Amino acid sequence: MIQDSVWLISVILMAAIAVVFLWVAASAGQEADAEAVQRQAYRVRAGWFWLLVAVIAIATVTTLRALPYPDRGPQAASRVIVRATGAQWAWTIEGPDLVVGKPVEFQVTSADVNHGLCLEYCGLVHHQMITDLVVKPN
Amino acid sequence: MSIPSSVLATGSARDLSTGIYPGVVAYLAIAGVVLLLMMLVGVVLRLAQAEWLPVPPDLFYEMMTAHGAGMVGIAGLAGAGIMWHFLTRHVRLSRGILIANLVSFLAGVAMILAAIFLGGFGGGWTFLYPLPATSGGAWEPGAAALYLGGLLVIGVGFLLFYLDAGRAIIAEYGTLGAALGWPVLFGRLGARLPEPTVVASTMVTIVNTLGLVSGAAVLAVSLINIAVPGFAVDALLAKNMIYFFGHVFINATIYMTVIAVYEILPSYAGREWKASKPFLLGWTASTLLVLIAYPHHLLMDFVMPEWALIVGQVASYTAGLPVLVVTAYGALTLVYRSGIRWDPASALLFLSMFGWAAGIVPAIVDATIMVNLVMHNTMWVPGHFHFYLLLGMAAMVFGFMYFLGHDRETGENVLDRLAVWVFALGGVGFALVFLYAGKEGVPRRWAVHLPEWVAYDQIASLFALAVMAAVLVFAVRFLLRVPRLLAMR
Repeated sequence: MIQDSVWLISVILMAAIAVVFLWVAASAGQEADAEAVQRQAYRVRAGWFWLLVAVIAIATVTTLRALPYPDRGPQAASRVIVRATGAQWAWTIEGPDLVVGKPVEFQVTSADVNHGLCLEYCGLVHHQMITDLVVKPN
Repeated sequence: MSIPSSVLATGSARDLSTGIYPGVVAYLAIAGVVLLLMMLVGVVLRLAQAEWLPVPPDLFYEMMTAHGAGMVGIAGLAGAGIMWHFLTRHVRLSRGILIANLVSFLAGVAMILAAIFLGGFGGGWTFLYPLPATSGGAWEPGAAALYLGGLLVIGVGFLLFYLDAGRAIIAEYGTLGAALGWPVLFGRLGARLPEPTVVASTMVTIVNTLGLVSGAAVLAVSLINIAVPGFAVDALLAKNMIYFFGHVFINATIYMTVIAVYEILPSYAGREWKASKPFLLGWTASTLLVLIAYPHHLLMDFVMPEWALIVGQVASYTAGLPVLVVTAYGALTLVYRSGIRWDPASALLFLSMFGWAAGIVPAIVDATIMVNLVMHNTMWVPGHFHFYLLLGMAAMVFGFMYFLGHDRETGENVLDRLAVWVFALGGVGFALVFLYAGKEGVPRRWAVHLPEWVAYDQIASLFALAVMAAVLVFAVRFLLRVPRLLAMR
């Protein structure tokens, strides 16, 4: 799952940053000429700056290829339409039975405040706005 | 009025902490108390989710609203205090405006507390239109109006603060562009090099003025909507305005508190931290990127224009660059083999650079549209912002507090050093549990958790208690020094 991948990547990168900070803190006791340190540091910075730019550019291009927005999904004709209406504090789901492997288009709307299928906070009973969707085997 | 940068660069740590204006002491003392209280509220929220403390859901959401609004507000106040303390050495700021901002802040806080704990308002600190006026019978319109009015009063105070800062900067440097160092950046001969404090303050002044105007406008129309329900606002426009304001304001807090790092850490390391062309370029880039990154809060609002959401992702990715390349790396270079003297102030300021830099990683992850599809409004979100606000922004504030009024006779003891370690390790653990729960799909802003999530909440509660114990030491140490700080004038 994508969640596992980004967790792993995040922990590795944060740990790498922690190691750099700990290393610098550990070496802080020995004194060296400030200008020499700065010259060397700026040379190193020029290198990793462009490396970082390259990584960001590649990550941007790669991830933007898989946008989840409606017009990027399967063709409309092949989708099963499910209407989801949020109201404080319940979902009304209307539509045919869902089948494994068949694309679904959720047409989401609200009767009162912001809801969203993605957990928008909607008031004091927000945590009870859950419902079941049954997907039958093909 | 201008103090040559060489005076600051070569000045001792004591030069920077003496002559503190009582208004700044008041800002920081209030910040210490409120941070501690809001952390207590946060701990209660986690204990409730952990099923270790019975808290009714309505009270949970009221406390959640107080925690969010309180933390954002007090971060802004602490940042403003730090910015004022150092900026006033370079430009002529108004003491009256400093106090006016504090008075309006306290008045607004009183209104918000009354709205929440007397009126039962629990619409979340983000007051997402039209939830304040459409509570499902949970609170009266008057409570919502009091909450929104309180935020508006606080926002107007801050707007005055930044308008005064902008006026003073322009009076000294001619234009805001000059204070951002553009003449130096573009190679004008003899151009004046602005000090890091001035550059950072100018950036914050620009973005927060725009953000606060947006926030005030949407608060005003929301108030009208409560009074005249027929006066409807486009919900998507309101959401954009709210998140533009909220995103800019909370980001600006850390761009203000980092001034403490620029000013104080060099005095400990015995080295200079001067503005350079990469520094100026980085801060100009940050000015733009902070303003345009806010759509990353709306990545799952499919009715948004797609281009705006792509801008949100790209700007969020890019916004990390100046922080990592200029500020975090600058701090590492400053400390590396410097013979720095470690004490709670320098340790917390150095820690804050780690917290900010490392916190960027999960922030960027969440701003990725394909990741946001599965992480949106999960615990990953509070995980990333607690990482860089607790271990970054708050560490800067506590470092500044330790720095003020420090001397060897009333210096820190082993308890303070222990508290720094507990804060660092507890803070990392606390934020990582949030992130892990987000990875597991646990939603944020839920008063009641499913049984399979409770273990995360229990572990997080232990870390939260440890962090709060450390902050208790920080806050008490600072409050005990307040009389001496006031006597130092």
